[in-house]
Order: sequence, then C-alpha cells, then structure tokens
Amino acid sequence: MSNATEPSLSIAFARRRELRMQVVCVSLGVIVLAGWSSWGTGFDIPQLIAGLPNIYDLARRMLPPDLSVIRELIRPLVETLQMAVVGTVLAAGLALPLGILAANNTSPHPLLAVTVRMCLNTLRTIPELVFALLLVSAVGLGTFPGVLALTLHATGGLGKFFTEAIESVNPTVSEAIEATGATRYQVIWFGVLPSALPLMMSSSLFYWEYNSRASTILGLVGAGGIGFTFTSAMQAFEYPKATSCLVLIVLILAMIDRISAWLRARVI
Amino acid sequence: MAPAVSRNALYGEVLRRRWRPRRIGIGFAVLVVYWWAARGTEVSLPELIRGLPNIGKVIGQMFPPDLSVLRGIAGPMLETLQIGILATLIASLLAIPFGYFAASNMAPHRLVYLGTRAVLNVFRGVSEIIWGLFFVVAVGLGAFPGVLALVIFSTGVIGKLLAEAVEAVDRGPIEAVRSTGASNWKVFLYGVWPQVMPVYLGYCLYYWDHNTRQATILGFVGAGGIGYTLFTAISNYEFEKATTAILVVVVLITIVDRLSWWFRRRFM
Repeated sequence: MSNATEPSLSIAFARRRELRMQVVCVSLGVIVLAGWSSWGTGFDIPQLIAGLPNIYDLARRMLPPDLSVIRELIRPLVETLQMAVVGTVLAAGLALPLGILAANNTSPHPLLAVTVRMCLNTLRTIPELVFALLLVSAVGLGTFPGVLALTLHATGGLGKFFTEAIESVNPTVSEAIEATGATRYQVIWFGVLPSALPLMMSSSLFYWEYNSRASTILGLVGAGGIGFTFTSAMQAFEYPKATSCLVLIVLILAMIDRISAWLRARVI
Repeated sequence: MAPAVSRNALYGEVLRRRWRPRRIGIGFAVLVVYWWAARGTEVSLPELIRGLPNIGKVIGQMFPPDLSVLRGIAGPMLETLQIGILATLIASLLAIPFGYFAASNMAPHRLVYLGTRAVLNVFRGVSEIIWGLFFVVAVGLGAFPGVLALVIFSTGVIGKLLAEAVEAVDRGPIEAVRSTGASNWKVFLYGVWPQVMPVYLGYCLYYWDHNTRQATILGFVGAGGIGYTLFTAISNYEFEKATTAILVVVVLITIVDRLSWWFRRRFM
C-alpha cells in the first residue's frame, strides 16, 4: 500500500513545487514589467492627488449639464449614428469579396490569399482616428472623411472575421455541391456563403456597435458627428454644453449595445 | 427509378427557398436604414470622386517614408508599449474588487451591487480618449494621464465581464466551501476564483491588446505615446514622417496582437 502511494505523493509534491516555481517566475516578470512601465510613463500617484483639485474644478464647471441645448445636439447625434451605419455597410460590402479572396478554401490562388490577408491586417492595425486625421487633411472637415475612416478600419476587421467565417464552413457542404458538377462560383454562392452567413451577420452587427462608439470620437480630429460638437464646446469653454454631449453619447451607446446584443442573439 | 433532377431546377429550388418573405423584409429594412444614413452623411459616389485627387495627393506625399525620424520615434514607441502594459496591470487588479461587488451572488447588499454596476457603467460609458482629455486637464500633458484614462475604461470593461463570469459559476463548489463555515471572501477565493480565473486572464490579455491600440492614439489629446508624434506630423503636413510613425504603429500592434493571442492560447 505505502509503496503505491509514496511515488504518487512525491510526484504530486514535485508537481506542486514546479507550479509554485511557475507562479513565482510569472509574478516576478509581471513586477519587473510594472516597474519598467511605471518608470517609463512617469506614473506618480502624488501627482494625481495634487491634480484632484483640477478635476474637481473642471467637474464643477461642467455640472449640471445644459439641457437647453439638447435640441441642437440631436442633429449631430443622428449624424454620428448615420456615419456608423454607412461605414459598416460599406465595409461589409468591401469585406465580402476580400474575405472570399483571402479564405484558403475559396481563394483562387494561395499567394493572392496571403496578399489580401496582409492588406486586411494592415487596415485593421491602423486606428480609425489616424485614418480620419489623414483624410481630414486631404478632403477637409466633415462627415465624409469620418465615414471613409470608419470604412477603412472596419474593412480590415470585418475582412478578417469574414475570412474566418468562410474557412470554418464544413468542407462536406462544398464537396456535395461540387459533386453535382457545379462551377467554383456556384459552390461559393450556393454552398459556402449560406453556411457562413449567420457568422458574417453577427460580426457585421458587432462592427456596427464598434463603429458607433468610434464615430462619437472622430469629431476630435474634425471628422464630424457629436464628437465635433463636444470638442468645439470644450474649446469654447462651454462646459455645460460639452457635458450634455457626453450624457447623450453615454445614453445612445448603451442603447446600441442592447440593440446589437438583441439582434445578434437572433441571427446566430 | 426516380426522375433525374436537372441541375438548373435544383438551383432554382435553392433560390426560391432563399427568397423567403422574412429575408426579403430584413434586406429591405437594411436598405432603408442605409439609404437614410447615406443621405444624412452626404456620402455619395460624386463626393468620393471629387475627393479622390486630394486623397491621391496626400498618399503621394506619404511615400517614400522618411526613415530618418525612426531614431526619434523609438522613445514614444516604447512609451506606448509601457502605457498599455501598466494600464492593463492596474486595471486587472482594480477589476477584481469591482467584479466581486458587481456580481449579484457575491455583493453583500443589493445597494452595493447596484452602486458598483453604476460606477462600472460610467467608466465604460465614455471612450478612453475622452477620459484622456480630462486627465490631461488634471495632471498635465504626458504618459501619466494616458495610463489613467486606459485604467478607468478597462477597469469598467474587465470589471463588468468578471462580474458576469462570477454570476455564471457552478454553484456546487460555492456550496461546498460555504458549508465548511467559510466567510464570504473565502468562498470567493476557494469556490469562485478557480472557476473564473482562466476567463479573467483571457480578458486581461485581450485588454492588453486593446489598450496598446488605444495608447497609439491617446497622444492626439496630449496623453503620451506615439500618437503625439503622429498628430504633430500630420498637422504640420509632414506626411512622409507620419508614414514612418504609422509603420511603427502597425509593427507594434501586430507584435502585441500575436503575443496576446499566444498567451491566451496557453492560459486558456
């Protein structure tokens, strides 16, 4: 009996020691990273405490929100929502052919798939605010550069999601359709896309939500929407008006969050 | 013997099934919303064609990238990385108490639960870059306000996600620990934490990726990182410098994205 338990006990102890070593190593690594980062970023709690009166001062000037301007904020708010819709629909339209070209099971050539995927990844890594700033300096202030910026970033993101959705389609589906003598185009149209559709719709809804959030801040660089009203109000020291913008942004984003979750639960 | 079905008849049947009233309704609704949004944002093909020469001009000025500024960019790039790491570490720690009190099965009182939820909602309600704007007012320009902005937002998100994970845990281990007479926080430590930890680590790693992306644009409002370099370069129409900064952003985000994905696969 004791012969049977002792080796397993010693194995258990060895495993425990090993686990403890791992925890110690990871903790040490995290502490070193934290130290290096707080040194590099000038992290300074006393500075935050010293700054608290400034925050208090700003909060006092911002509160209460000026509700009389709500009426004139409706237009930029609606504009923000519209930017998100157009940006998402255009991105989905662009991402569909790109996704088909990038997916291993539908791409006409592996080299093309790799190239398209690289382009999508690059689009995805550049934040929409950077696109917006570049486009504003190219075509001027307004919603147009904002929509283009949202479209570019979301095309990268949706393209990746669509590629994954297409690649996750069960190969027997397309094999069955191929067996009827269908062309490549027919296989994609009748076999692959219908199976990938629910996932693609769900990720499009996700990006609609994402773009709604992003479109509220594009105004910071002059690319339209309620963010622009907010920034102008802050720069003109009309703080209560800025607060009204923030309140509206928070409310509308919470609403979109709900709607998107409800719709996504229905398509999947 | 069954009559052979011609291929065209088969496809016709598929198409007929595809165009069900419900689907047509959804397609129509999407079209109407898109039309409304496109009209509101004045995005149109003529507008795009009119803008193309200017966009082309900017792209022309962006190339070739001015690699001589690479040396000067190394500092801001490291700072961006550090902002992301530090903010994620602090937010991960802060999210644990918030997640505890925002979980309905753990909070000592319903009011505590509602209060914590409300705080988390406010944290998540406003985008990082707007928090950045406020913290710049409070503590001045630099990376520190950037860290604070990311901490606030990601505490809001990780806290909420953790609370949801805690609410969804298996009741068995909780009952078992509670039956030994353990206090509430011991129940959490031994009955709940082991169940939610992998999910929690996954969220933290995901938000590390997210925070690094955000850290690249916080500089637009003066909150540190490479965004400031990027912002001044584009504002001064030094597009070839901006391209270098954008390339650095692409490389940085790609590396962090890969690392975060790799860690998530190992820990979960």
